[in-house]
Amino acid sequence: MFGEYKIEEFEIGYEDFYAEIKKQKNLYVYVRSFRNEKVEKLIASKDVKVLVNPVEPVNLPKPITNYLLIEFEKPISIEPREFSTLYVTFPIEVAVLLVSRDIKILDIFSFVKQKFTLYGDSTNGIICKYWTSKIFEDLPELDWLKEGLIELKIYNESEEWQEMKKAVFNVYDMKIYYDEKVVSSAYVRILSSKVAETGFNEISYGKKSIELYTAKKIPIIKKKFFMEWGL
Amino acid sequence: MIDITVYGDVTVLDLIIAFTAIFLSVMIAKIVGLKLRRLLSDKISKDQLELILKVTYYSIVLIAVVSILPILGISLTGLLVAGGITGIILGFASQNVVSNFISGLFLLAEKPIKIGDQVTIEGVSGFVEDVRVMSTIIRTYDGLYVRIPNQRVFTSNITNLVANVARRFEYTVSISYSDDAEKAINIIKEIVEENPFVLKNPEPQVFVNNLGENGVDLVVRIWVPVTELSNVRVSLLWKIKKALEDNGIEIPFPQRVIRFARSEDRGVGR
Repeated sequence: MFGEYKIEEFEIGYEDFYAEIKKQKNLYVYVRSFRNEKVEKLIASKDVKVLVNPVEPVNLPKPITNYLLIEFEKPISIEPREFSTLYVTFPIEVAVLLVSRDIKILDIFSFVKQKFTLYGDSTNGIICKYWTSKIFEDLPELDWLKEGLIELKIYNESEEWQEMKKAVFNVYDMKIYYDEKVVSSAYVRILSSKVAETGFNEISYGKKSIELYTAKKIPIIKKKFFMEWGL
Repeated sequence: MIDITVYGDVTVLDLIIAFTAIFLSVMIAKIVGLKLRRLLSDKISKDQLELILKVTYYSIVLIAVVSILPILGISLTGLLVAGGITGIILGFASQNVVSNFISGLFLLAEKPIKIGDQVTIEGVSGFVEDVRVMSTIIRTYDGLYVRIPNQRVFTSNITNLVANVARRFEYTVSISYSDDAEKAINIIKEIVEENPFVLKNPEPQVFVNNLGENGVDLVVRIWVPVTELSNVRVSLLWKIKKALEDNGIEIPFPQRVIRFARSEDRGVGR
C-alpha cells in the first residue's frame, strides 16, 4: 500500500478499506470507503503524483494533540547508569498526499482503534494519543499497516534503579521510515524517578515518510519532550 | 498662504506637516499590523497576535505624536507639568474610565482569559471575542454581543471553562429494580470505552450511586479533552440509552405502587 502512484493508477485496498482516484472530464475524484464512512474529494490538477505513507500518529479522529503516550504492558526496571535497547510498537496512521511543487494532504486513515489519555494533571498536564505496547527484545512480526516499530534506547542516567511504565513523545519530531516494515527510532534519558527526556533519532532504513508537520508547514520549536509527571 | 502664523511660531505649513505625519503614522501602523498579521497568524495564538498588533499600532502612533509635538510648538517638559495637573483633574472626573483602563492592563497581564476561551463572567456565558483596554467583548452561545467594562470583569468571579486541558462530566442513568445493575454497568462501560475521546486516564467510573424512588441510579463519570466535551456529552448519552434498551434494561418512568385495601381488610360490616 505504501509508495508512490501515478494519479490515474491510484487504487488501494485492505480488508474493508478501499480508495481510488477516478478521472472525470477535467477533474479527478478521490473516493475512499472504510467501515461505514465514505469520503469523496475533487482534485484539479494536470500532473500530480500520489504518495501513500505512514505519518505521525496524532491526526485521527481529530488532531487535538501532538503527543503520543505509549504504555508498556509490563513495567521495566533499569539499572543505574545503564542503557538498554528495546522495541515497542506505535499505531499507524496512513496519509494520502498529492505531491507536485507543493504537498497537499488529501486524506488520513487508520486501521487501529483511537484513544486519548491525560498525562499529568488536568491543569498543567497534556492530552496524549494513547497506545499500549508489549516490550520486545527482538524485531517482532507485525501487521505493518496497523503497527509500526520503535527502536527505543533507554538510558538511566540517575544513580538509582528506575521503573518505567510509559513513554511520552512529542511526535512532531517523529521520523518514520518504511519499506517492508514501518520503523522509527527514539530515546528516553531517565534523569530521576519522575523526570525523563524523550526524542527521536534519525536512522537509515527504506524510505523516509513525509512528515505532516512539513506538509502542513508547521514551524517546530520544541523537539524534545520532558516527562515531568512520572515514568 | 502657508507661511501664515496660526499661533506662536507655528505656521499653516507646520500644521500640514504635523497632520500629514500623524496620518502617515496611522497608515504605517496599519500596514505594519497587516504584515505582522500575515506573518504571525499561523505561528502564534490569536490572543498573543492581537496583543502584539495592538502594542505595535499604538507604539507607532505614539512615537509619531511625540515626535511632532515640537513642530506644533508644544514643549514636552511643559506638557508633562500641564499633564500632571490635567491628569489629577481628569482622574477625578473620569474615575470609571481610568479604573476600566487599569483593570484592562491587569487583565492583559494576568491573563485569566484569552481570546477564544469559553467563559462565564457575571452570569454571561460565551466566547471571549476581544480583551480591549477598556472592555471585554463576549459572544454568547446564542450569538449576542455583550460588552463588559474591564473593572467589572476584573472584580467578578471568572469561570474559564477551557483553561484546563481536560474536564469531567457525569450522567445519572436510572434502571429499574428488576434489572441487573452489574450488567448495566458493563454495557455502559463498553459504550464509554468505545469513544476515542473518553480519556483512558483518569479512568471513567460507572457505579450505583443511589437506590431511588423509581429505580437504581447509576452514575457515569467521564473525563474528556476540554475541546471535545460538548460533542462527547451529547453523543454518548443517547448511545447509552439505546444500548441499555437493546439489552433489555429498562429506564423506568416515575411510578407509584398503590394498593387498594379490600373491604374485608378494612373490617367493613363487622
